[in-house]
Amino acid sequence: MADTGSLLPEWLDMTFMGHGHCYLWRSDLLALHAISDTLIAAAYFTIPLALYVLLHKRKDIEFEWMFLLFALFIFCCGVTHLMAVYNIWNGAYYLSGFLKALTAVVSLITAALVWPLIPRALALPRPAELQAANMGLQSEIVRRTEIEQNLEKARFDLEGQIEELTRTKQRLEEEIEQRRRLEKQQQHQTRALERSNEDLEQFAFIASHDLREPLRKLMAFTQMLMTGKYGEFNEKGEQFVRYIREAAERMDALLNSLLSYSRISSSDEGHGELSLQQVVEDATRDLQLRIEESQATIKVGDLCWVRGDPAQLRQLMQNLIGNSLKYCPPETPLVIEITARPSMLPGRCEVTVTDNGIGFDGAYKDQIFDVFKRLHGRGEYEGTGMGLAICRKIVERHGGSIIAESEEGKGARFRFDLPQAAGSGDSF
Amino acid sequence: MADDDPLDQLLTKEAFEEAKAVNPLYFVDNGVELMRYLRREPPYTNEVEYPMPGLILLDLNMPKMDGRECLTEIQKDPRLRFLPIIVMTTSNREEEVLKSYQLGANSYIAKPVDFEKLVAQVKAFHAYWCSVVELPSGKQ
Repeated sequence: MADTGSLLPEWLDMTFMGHGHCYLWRSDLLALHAISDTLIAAAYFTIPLALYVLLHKRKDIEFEWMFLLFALFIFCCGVTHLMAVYNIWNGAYYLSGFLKALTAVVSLITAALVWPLIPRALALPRPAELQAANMGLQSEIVRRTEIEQNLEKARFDLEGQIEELTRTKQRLEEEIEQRRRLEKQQQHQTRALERSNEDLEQFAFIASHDLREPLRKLMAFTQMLMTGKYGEFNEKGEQFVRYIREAAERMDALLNSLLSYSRISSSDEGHGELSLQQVVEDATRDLQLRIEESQATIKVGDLCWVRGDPAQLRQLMQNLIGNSLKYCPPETPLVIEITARPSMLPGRCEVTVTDNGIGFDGAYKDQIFDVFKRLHGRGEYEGTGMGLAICRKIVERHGGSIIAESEEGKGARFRFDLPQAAGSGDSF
Repeated sequence: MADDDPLDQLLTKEAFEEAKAVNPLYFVDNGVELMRYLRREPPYTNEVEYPMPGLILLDLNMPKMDGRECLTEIQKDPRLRFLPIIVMTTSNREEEVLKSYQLGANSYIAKPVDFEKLVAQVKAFHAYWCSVVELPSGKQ
């Protein structure tokens, strides 16, 4: 250290003795130290390389800087060992000291930084954990895929259902449309029916006056001719006048029955609860004379309470009983039986009128209810053929139907149903 | 008697004769004429020629002014309200009968189709209205 003018010669001062002196140049010691240090250095140089390769391959590695620091620190350690090998034979202790100092600095920094890193490194998930999580995630993915598939299927089903619903909706709409049309048609028909009813009423009115007016004249004047006050007829003439009169009388009867047919009102007005027994009694009272004439027996069973128009029901019973009286048997005494029982239809009662009269051919069982329908010549039985038509209309106005059963010569049976009075239950 | 049908007028007249009903019959052809007669409007101004009736036979269906309108008019007129009115018409519809009485008719007779019956009817109501019942003299 003679020249202290510059530090450099001191730095590179090679005048010191090598470490070999301390080993007394023994070859075994020399070899031991030189080989060991060389191997350490070699190992220390490969480690940073390995770290570098690792970092290069694993870009996602956490705390990369720590690895770099380690690499640097180990590299520095390697250099110090290499320096130790060199200094066996040379005395570059300044350089080796400087390198040691550098290594110390790097080591210190590394040591200082490695401790706080531990908790952070511990917080990092372990590969097993990651694997478990991964597995969990995998199964989750499988599950989700399944769910997705199910969802897809559900969506498909839903789409199908929506299509189905849309089709149903369309069908319903069409149906609604059709019903509207039907309703309109029905309203139309109802209106037409109302109109025709009004026409019928109108007709009844006209028939009751205008049609009978000329008829009255016919009858009155032919009658006046028949008095003989206005000249005598010969036999033929008298017959002709009588024909005119009979035709006019017949016309009058037809008009009357047509009138009573068209007058059967369809409204519920005047409908009340009444005992059918009473109705039959009233009807037979009106027919008393004819009943006595034909010496008929009328057997009335237990009858129900019904709901309806008293006048109409009375006419119904009167027409049916009158019918039996008209077509009474020629030899045996006439027996008319009137019975009632609860109908198969709820809230209605079935009434039967049976006689042992001449009956009729069953083939006509529907026709006999037609307007002006007659099965007999005018000479045999009187009547306009309106009686049963009126019966049918009355029964239908009371929401029921009437049927006839008969055989020629075996009596007739008429069966019809009427609404039972409310609260009468099955009591008869 | 108010009736638009000349043959009906004739028949009624015949029936009156046949029934020996002596009261004079005066005919008008429709409701308007009837109201004119009763109110002494031309041509019915002459009291001797057209005396005030004691009884009116009224047909319901007549042109211009029908029987129902006549009934209403007569009921509205305090000078005519006392007049007894017998509705004589072809129809025997219940509605018509009821309506007529509601409008103030005193009787309702359905004209029979049979002349004999008509005569009998005339006899009956003539006996009733012209013998049994006191009629107003019409000199108010």
